[in-house]
Amino acid sequence: MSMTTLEGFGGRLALRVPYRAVLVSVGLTVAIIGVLTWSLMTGSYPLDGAQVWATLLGDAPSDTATTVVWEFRFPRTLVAFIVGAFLALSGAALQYVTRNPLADPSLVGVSQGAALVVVAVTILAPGMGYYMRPILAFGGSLVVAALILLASSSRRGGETLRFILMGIGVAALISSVTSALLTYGDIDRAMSALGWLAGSVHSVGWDEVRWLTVTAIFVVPAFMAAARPLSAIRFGEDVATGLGIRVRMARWGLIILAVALAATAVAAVGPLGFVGLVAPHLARRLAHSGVGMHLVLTGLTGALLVGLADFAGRAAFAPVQIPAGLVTAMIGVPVFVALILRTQARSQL
Amino acid sequence: MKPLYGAFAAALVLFATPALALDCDVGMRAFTHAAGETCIPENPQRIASLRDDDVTTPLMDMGAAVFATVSREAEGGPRWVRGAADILGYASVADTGLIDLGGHNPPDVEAVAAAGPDLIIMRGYQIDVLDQLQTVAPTIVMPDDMPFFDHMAWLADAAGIQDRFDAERAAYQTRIAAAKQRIGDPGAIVVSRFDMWDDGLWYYPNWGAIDQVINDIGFAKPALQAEEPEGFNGMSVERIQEFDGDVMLASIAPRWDQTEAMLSAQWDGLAPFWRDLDGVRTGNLFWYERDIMVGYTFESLNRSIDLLTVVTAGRDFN
Repeated sequence: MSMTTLEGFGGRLALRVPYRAVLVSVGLTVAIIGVLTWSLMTGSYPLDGAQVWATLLGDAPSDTATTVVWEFRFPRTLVAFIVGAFLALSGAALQYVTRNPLADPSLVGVSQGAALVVVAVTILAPGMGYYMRPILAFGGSLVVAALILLASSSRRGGETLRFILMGIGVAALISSVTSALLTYGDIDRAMSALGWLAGSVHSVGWDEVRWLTVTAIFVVPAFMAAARPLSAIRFGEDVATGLGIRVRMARWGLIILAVALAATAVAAVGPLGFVGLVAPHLARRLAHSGVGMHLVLTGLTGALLVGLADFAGRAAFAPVQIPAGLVTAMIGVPVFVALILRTQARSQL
Repeated sequence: MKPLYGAFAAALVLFATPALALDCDVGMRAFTHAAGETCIPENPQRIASLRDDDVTTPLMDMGAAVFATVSREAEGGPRWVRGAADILGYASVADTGLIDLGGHNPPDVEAVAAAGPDLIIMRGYQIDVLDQLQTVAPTIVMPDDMPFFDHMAWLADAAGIQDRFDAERAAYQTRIAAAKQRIGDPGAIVVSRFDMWDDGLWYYPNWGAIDQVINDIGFAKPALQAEEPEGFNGMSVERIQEFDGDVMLASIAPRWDQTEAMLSAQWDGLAPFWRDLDGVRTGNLFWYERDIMVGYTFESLNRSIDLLTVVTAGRDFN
């Protein structure tokens, strides 16, 4: 880990600065701003940089330009960044808590729970309306996650392994029910559900930006405060207990935070696969650092990943739109496979 | 007590008065659709369609002012408008100079904005972009699962061409009457329409033009189909006997390189006993082009009348 130590007050106050990680985080922030700028200037509606700038300053060349920049591109790009950061942080927390490098929000049933409820309502009770989807998705995520957590914590000892196995089992069961609904449901309703399942960043607006921002204000600081218990837990239960951490409470608290973040993201845009899995690993490879800094890098990496995926899906083959969920999967799957191979090589499997 | 009576009367007026109709500008009118009521142009001149086969195609068939549409990717070929390309022909579609809005799920809202429509017509499964599109132009959502003529009439009404629809429908009724006369007693002829795919037998009632014509001419159907209001897919092939009929119709899609020989071979693999059905043994299984006969167009209705008249009129099925 590349560190510089800043000292003051005659050495009584010392601050270790992981300068490579700081540099990388600055680089990621610049990249995010770059993607935002590029995204605002690119799309099916032709606008050059000067026109976009004029539109942002309230002197748009046309009403349509105002609509395209302010109602379509801007909120969409911001939401992509925020949900990317949420899913990435959620994945990182779960990887630390379970000490499993392949953990991500789907492990706790967040994506599957949301998918099941949204698909079921879309196909079986379409009258409930599209506008209920975020609430339904959020509710479905929390209920399934709570079921998995309760079932995992019902006995003493071995909770982490039981948690992982329970998550995989319940997720598989729920996915099969969702698939059956999609297969035998009305084709138009199934298409509607499939659009949401593929990651519907395309349909968001300022409402989503607002409530995601409010969530971020409350939950992200809590995550940062969790850096210390996370640091301890990754060395194992005994070491963490020796360091004064109340392991059981810290573990469940972190899982609940991770579920809340992922459920909020899924409620906003539908399931986006692999972000929670891939972003923490990418961040670790960009710069080695302590847990706190790693969480910062992970959030930025997730934001950049989904922001880029949405931009690519929107602009690369315009006017054909590729849902962000498919693009993140296209990036995520090769990384996932590489991680498995790397894990196998390390463990001599 | 007077103030109480006054308050009661005021409350009664407030709650009992029906909702006021939408107040639209000059040249606009209120239109009811699947997502509520919206002011739309009385005579839209730049209609953007977000579904090709059952919105763009019927609008083109009825001569509406559709000027931008979603389309589909052909493998190794140009993008095409499903339905219209097959029913009306590629050249007809190309001649209209339709603006391509890309794919339909999800639609590209920026491409719609760039086209500058005065009316946008979308389907229910695209409702997640309704709020965005309403900032571009009046946007209406087509109700799902409407019967054939309700579907066509709804579109004609939205496009401001109700009179053209009425004229076409009257001509259709005349053709149906003529077909009935030629066939004689259509109620005595059992027409079975179904498909067989890997997962079993498929049947959908009210499936586009051909089913409308079967119903309007008044052919009989196998009991299983007549009693099935919703349709099904994946029914066991062991029940194929219940799909027997004097005339049997199955669909084929040459666009996807399907041929009669290929589908027959596929059926042999799935349920070889299909060849024992009376309708098959007597040479009365006919394949129809799905993209044409199932289309939501008057052209599809006319071609379906022609097909069904040719295979039934003047023939004895006893």
